[in-house]
Amino acid sequence: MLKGNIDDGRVDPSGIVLMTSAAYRQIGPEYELAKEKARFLSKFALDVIKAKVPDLVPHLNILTGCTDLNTRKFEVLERLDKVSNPVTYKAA
Amino acid sequence: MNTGTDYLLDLNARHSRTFIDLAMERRRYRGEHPTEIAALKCMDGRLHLPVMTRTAVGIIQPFRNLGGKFDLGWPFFQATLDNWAQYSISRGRHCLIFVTYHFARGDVHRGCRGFNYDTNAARDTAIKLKNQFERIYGKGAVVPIVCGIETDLDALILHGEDGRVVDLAEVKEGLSGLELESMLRSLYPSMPERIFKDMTPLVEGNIKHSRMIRTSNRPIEDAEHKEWVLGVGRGFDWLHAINTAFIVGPFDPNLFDAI
Repeated sequence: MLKGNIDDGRVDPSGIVLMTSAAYRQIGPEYELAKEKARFLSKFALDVIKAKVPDLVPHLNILTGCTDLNTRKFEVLERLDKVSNPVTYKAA
Repeated sequence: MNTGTDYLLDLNARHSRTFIDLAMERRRYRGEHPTEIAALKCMDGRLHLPVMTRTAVGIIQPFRNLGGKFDLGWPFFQATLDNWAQYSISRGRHCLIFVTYHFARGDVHRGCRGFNYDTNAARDTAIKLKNQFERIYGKGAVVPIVCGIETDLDALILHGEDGRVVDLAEVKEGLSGLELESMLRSLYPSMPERIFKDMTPLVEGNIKHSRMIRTSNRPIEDAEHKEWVLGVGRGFDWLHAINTAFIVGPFDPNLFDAI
């Protein structure tokens, strides 16, 4: 469907984002598990796209993180701006 | 702001600040309307119930999957949903679950791609899921209702207990509070009073919102797919810019297909 939006000219092809989030409420194991889950889901989703819609891959920017449900603040774990800024950012 | 990613991070920062600022107001609202509300929805980025019902983010708990297809037999979905229900019940709160499907009144191809634009199939699946909830949780504390979401006017289509349907975009202008209450009571005669009272503001909000969309003559292309984000996981309710993201929750055991 994202590829369809690109093909039909409804969206900017350089601005497609694969964003993964895992949610948590408490610091401690729940937070650490959320980070692991987010990284897993990001890799999993990218593998699915590579297998199913490889034409979409060159358009993808990737943003992986977790969301604190107490504040809705999204914490970036990994960011890959493939198109406009080919620099990988990895949080500690 | 240079990229879509920057836009998303900025949107999140602004939303998070607002969410924190509104914490007390949300507590007050919850005190007045304690029913916990969930919405099972398609991943489609046009379906944003807080916007459509004029409800603050954080009141409606969203669950998203392709086509809005869920099954209480799915292990992770079952565990998540049951945790949510048990938490609510342990605090003495009722649970209201919007089991939704979606379509567009102007063109079948603006409907649900997850069901190959077959609105009847999407609605029948929602009815089946609602029946599954009733079979498992019984009646009273946990109340599922089937609700269509019509995306041309952002209108909710309420399905009553006897199968009658009310399109909130077609509700007459100037409907009084008493008339609205009477309409909802006839649709949901067995709904507990507490849930009834907590659902009413959402219905009022959607009547106002869909009327606003109709009078603004929103261009049809604005109701077409324009998503440029694929969101996978949970915690995305801050991403409240309509028609921006497809969101897939991690619930479907066949997550590969859902993505």
